Amino acid sequence: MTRRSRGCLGRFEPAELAVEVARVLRSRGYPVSTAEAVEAARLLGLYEAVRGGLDCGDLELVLVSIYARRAGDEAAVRDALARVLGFSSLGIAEGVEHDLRRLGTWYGRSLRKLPSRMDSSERAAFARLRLLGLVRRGRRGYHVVGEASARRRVAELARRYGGYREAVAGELRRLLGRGRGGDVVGLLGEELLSYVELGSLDARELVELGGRGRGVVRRAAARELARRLASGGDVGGRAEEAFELLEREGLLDERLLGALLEAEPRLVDRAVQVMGFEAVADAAERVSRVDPEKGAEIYARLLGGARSRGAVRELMRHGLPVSGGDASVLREAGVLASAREALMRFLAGGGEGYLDFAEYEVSRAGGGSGLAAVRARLLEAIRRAREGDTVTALRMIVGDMNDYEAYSFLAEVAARGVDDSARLAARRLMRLVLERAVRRVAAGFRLSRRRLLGEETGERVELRETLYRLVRMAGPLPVWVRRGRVPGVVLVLDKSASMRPYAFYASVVAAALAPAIRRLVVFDAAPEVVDERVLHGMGVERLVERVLSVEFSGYTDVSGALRAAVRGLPPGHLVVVSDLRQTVRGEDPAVVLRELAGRRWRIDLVLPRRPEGLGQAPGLRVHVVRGASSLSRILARIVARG
Amino acid sequence: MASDGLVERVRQVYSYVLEESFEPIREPGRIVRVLRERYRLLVDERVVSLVVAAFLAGRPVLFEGPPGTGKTEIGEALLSLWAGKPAFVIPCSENYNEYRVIGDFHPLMAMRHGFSEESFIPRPLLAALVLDAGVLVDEIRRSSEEFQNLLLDVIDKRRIIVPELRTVVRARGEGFQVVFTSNPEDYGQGELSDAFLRRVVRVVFDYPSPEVEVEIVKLRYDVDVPIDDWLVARMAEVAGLLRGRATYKPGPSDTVMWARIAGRLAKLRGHSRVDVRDVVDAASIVLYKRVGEEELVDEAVSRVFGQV
Repeated sequence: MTRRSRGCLGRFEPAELAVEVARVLRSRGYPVSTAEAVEAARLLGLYEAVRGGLDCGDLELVLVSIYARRAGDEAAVRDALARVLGFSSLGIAEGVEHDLRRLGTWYGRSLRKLPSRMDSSERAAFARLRLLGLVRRGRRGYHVVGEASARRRVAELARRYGGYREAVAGELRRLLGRGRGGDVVGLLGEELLSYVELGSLDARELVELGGRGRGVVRRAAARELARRLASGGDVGGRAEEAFELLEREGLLDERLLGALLEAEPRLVDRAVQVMGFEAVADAAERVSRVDPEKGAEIYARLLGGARSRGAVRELMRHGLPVSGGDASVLREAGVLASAREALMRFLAGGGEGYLDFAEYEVSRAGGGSGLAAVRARLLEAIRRAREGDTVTALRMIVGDMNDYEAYSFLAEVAARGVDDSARLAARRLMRLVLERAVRRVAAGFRLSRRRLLGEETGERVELRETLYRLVRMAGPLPVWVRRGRVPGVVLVLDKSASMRPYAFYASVVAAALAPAIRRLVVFDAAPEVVDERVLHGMGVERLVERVLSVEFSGYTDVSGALRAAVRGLPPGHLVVVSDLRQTVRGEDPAVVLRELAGRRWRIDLVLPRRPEGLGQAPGLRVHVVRGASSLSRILARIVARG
Repeated sequence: MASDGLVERVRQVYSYVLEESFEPIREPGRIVRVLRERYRLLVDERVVSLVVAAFLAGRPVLFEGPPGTGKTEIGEALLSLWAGKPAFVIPCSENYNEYRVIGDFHPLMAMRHGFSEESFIPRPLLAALVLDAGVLVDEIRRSSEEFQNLLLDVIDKRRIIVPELRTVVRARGEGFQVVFTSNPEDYGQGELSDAFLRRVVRVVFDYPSPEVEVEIVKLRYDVDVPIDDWLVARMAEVAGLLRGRATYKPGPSDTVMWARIAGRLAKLRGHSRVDVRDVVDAASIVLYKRVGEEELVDEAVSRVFGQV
């Protein structure tokens, strides 16, 4: 028997190759035992003896026969072999089919599990297919595109990228470049770093990656971004997100702050919150050495924030150009802000004196610096208030505010307003503002009626079973089935006094989730539990109304409320909107939460700030509300998990 | 050890195996030739080499792939050639147990003679061990996990214990080998445990390329009315189209069957060669497998053969 060429084996002995391939497979999460590696080596030896040599096809055949235990593992073994031998990567179609098998599906079929129920390797496979456009979201969940269309897509990807890994990496880049792909980034997890060379991403893509990724991915993106900024790179117009990313990862220092403020002076307020007045002043000084005008602008904002926050806010509200050098604009804005503040205090029941002061302040403002329209509008509001038309004055003041600011102010007027009509109007406007915010937030995550509003609609005839029985003369006819609703969430809403500053966010989250609530627990010192039966009778609209009418006051018993929320229910999805501040004697909420997570409850905590001492537990997720814009994202995550 | 009485009983029941025995063939090149000439099977020499290597290593082989790709037939033929005797076939189902593969006792005989060789009915696995023949365990995924574990134990240790007879039967040569077949994509299939999969050499079968499929059809075509190569190539093309679209994916065995039926139709109609009409008519007989897919079949056939 003649020995054939062993060129494919290169420097390896068959046994050595078997062990190397096993090692690569193990590193990718395939549990290859030592016994299997020994068996592979033995079989390679025998095969070589039988066939008189080993070429690449032989190697592949033998190793696949031992290491690929299930349909779909073949591609991974081939890839591992190619990697050991230094060959090219997987063909795209093979990679796709491997991933499809990993998910237990095939072309044209739907996915058996939701991504939230998948393990990490399934999630990564799902993310890759989604990225390549082969898994799409339809009305009935995720499905794989049909075979013909998949073939076309694969052919297109093959033309563009050549290999599977290259295709995944390329599509990921494209997505990040367009500022999209949050779900894919999250699902790919750490594996993402094997596809993307961080050094090749621009700042905008890095910020996107850091914002969407978690754990190691976010840290790696933040570090790379910090390195770029420190060496004079820009942030691609994403200074705010870059700031949050660096701050979250603890990488923010004065040098980086200077670079960020230079790119976006509006970050001053947030920077003062995080790093203090002195640090921001230093950063402003550093910036002014390079760019005096930008430095002045940062100063102006800094001073506005320190002395008269209203001045800058006033300017910002009306979108006027800010010039650090033009002190008169700042001064006039400050005066108008002061007048507005006084009028607001009057409306909130502060007394006639505030109205007089408001008039005085407005008279001080000259109106010659581009703020004339603002001044005129304010003057009109003051006049209306003076004439007793407080409702119009209230409307005019609120009209310029964002939702959160308006809600806070209206809550104050509703509680202690100047007169009955103002209090009444404030309550009505509060509801409007909240509803608008709920709509806006819900639109952000596309509230699905099928998913969330699938209310129980009673019984219907099960046709198939009825016919079956009819033919066989078996059992009572017809057969009825109850149409069930998708299991919803148990919502625990903290309405204690400590939540009052966050009442707006809490109400928006709760109201947006209202259609999916199966048990509502509103609590302060004592929980009030509204169960599914009552909720059904209530209907979605009344439930939203109930949530929006919550008044925030009292002490807090978080752990008691959590216990009440899960009492008598099998493990499911628990959404807790609270600051977790236990103000009455009781169990530690963190302990209760961990215990519930251990009992397989899926828990989403929506908090105004990151809690201390909560730790991590499987099934427990924490969402910190960082502003109105983050609400949609948080809700989308909660709903996706349902 | 196995008593002579038990061995004699096996030889008596399965005498045909010994009568049909021949010189074992264990060299891959020769096996490929014999498979082609005697069994009309076209098998890649690499696959044969791998199976031979696995047999030499004493490992069972698992043939896995879609239906109609020849797993069972090739497995049975390989086992027969290796052992030089016809292989035993165990078609699996959920209720298969040790009594159906190792042996059980005839109730009346057992009442008369007690649990002895006389009342014992040997079954294929035990017979294969005694007679040094191969065993093909067909559709292993349809069997229970308990049954799979029993088989693995027998294969690993190459012996069977019959406690009622206080007998241990051991394999007597290299002829006792096991090939499993499985089709994970078919309906009603169970899962194979990791422990099982770790012990087998898994050989993956897939649909052949159109060229190979043409060759297979030509090799297995057994009607005396000749069929042109281009017609066979078009039939393979139709099969390929349906594999991509239909729920029932025709395997090469279906294409072979299609050609044979077309040949017989041609003969009935008195044609000297198979023509397109015969092939198209035969298509509806062979390829209509699932309700609702007739249109798909018609569409694929008319796309390849045109409107006849």
